[in-house]
Amino acid sequence: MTKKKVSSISRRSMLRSSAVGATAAVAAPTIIPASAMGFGGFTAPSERITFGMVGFGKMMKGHFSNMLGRKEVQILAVCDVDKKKREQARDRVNATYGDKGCGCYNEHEKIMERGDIDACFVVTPDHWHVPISLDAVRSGKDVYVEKPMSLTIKEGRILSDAVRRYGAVLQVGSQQRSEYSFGKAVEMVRNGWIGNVHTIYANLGRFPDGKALPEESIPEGFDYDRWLGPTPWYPYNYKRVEGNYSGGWRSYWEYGSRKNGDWGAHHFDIIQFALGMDHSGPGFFFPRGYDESGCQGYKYDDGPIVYRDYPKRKFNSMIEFYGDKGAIGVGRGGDLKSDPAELKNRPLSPSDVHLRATTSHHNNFLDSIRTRKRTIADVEIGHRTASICHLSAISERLNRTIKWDPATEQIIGDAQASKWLDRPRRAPYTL
Amino acid sequence: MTKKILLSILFAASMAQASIQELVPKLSAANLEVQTQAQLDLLAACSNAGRPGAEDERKSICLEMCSALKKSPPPAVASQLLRNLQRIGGAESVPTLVTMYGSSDPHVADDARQALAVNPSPEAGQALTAQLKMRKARSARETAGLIEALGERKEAGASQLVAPYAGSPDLLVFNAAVKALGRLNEDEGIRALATQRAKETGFRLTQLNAALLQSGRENVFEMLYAPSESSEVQASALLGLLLVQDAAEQK
Repeated sequence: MTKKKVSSISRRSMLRSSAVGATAAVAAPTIIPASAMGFGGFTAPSERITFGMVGFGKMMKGHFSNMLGRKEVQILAVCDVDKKKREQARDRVNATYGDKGCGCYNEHEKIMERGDIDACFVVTPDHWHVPISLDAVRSGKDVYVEKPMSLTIKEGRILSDAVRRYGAVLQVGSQQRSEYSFGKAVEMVRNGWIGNVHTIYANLGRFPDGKALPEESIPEGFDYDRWLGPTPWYPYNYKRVEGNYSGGWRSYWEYGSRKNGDWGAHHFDIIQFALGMDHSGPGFFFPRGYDESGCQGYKYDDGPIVYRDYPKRKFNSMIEFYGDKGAIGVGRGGDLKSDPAELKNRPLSPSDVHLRATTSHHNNFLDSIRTRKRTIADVEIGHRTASICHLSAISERLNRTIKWDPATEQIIGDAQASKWLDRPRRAPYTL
Repeated sequence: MTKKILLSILFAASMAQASIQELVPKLSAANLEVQTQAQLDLLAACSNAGRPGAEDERKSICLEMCSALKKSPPPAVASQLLRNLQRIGGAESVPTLVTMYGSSDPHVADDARQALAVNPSPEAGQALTAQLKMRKARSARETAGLIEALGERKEAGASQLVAPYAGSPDLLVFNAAVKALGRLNEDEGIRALATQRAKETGFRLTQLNAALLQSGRENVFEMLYAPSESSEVQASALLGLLLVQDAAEQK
């Protein structure tokens, strides 16, 4: 098993070097020889991609089941700061494979030390995304990291540069990029079917304010200090660390950008995709009360204005694009509407831009590990989308407008706002 | 005109005073709703005072927070004040931050250290350097914190002080020193990292390599682009060499 594993890693290593040699671009062999794969649906052990899975909260459930069910994947280790969660995960892996080989760790560094692990899923709260991903990339591993990719713009830049430097593959969990309706909406905008886009609405909702909480005793087997990691110290309370789509840690600025980062990471990402701004971004951010809309939002230089939670949307969709020739509404569950109505049913012509969006975010990641091609939600894309989330949050928290230069990644003319491009880190947690 | 400016400063100072004085007791209120609102109000007041063109107002509110810290508030209140000083504090806050770094509460002390780490004044860097020189750190975590702070500030000349810690058997101190030396990117520190490589394996070696690779130095890339290195290190070194050579050709 170990010997065969070496051959698998070597092949991918060769592809990594090829990719970096071509200045870390996409040039690399794209076809895996059939002989490299097994026969009759069996995947040779040497060709399995081996994983370490980090963070067993709500978001991990789908990833974990998906990866466990794949013949071409083998989970070699699990990690969580909650002993109960990681041991449950370990037991499930061992039961699935019929052995006792799954590593089980409190510290993610233990996964990074293992040379037999090819890649990691990083599915922790936001404040651990970059530190763990960075350790993985530096250890020669590929990464699937949940959205938003970063806690701060500065650390996002560090991770993006590191991924390029090490020739790693990284997929951000912005899986709306891999959903048909969003892909189609993006193609409709990119091909100018609704003309020049001037206004966009994104529906994020709002979390209640993260509240001061009374101290509770830390449950046995829960490494609270490590859960907090680089974030400010607070006494333990279950509601602070709870994984809850309506609150929990997501309510607190300390661990993310609240709804700006939670849903913003999905919807702002699609907006970037549609406008062809994946490697750039808007230049101006404003809080509620800035204009007559009453909404928070941002504006692209010489481009559309984006309003968050605008109440009078035409389609009541998650994202709505308005151009001088029509409008599009798009959301999950196949929601796709247009004005004119027949627009959404029009097929792409050969001369149209075809994005050929994948319909499986996981498949896209696994394919990229094999081919070394960039993923559909590559690290720089994730960094730029997360930057919008963070700048929106900075504008909201400071309650003032922010001018942003996406080329230099600097806030213009506001020293205090600029300090929010990064956050102080609690010792000993450093990048 | 001068009279007008003075009056506006005094007005701003009195506003800040009232605001902070009112907020401090609420930051430790038994009613958690009141406490939450006080935290939000403090943030709003500091955000407003930190806006461009309001230097007098910023300084005034920082001095008020420092004054409140000198009255030995409960740790939770001290932390809230320190976390706002992290955002808007300048040179005027440094003496208080140094005092608070000596707090017996380790969380308050670390909040003060973080505030010094991001304080834009040279005095903050000098204070952190002095603390590390005195070697009065009470734990490995505290030593690591001071080293990290110097690295994050890119405090010129700090490599000499930090380099000996790159050989620390304590993982916290080792990690902090290696990362700080990489950020500082000074000759002495890079030499220390290169020397230490020969003695390390596993994840400690990974951290050393990462620190060296971020230096952007051609000789480091040449050293790491060797057949004995792992594929990811070779790949990164190769790209580094290409970029360095490309930059040289463009000159």
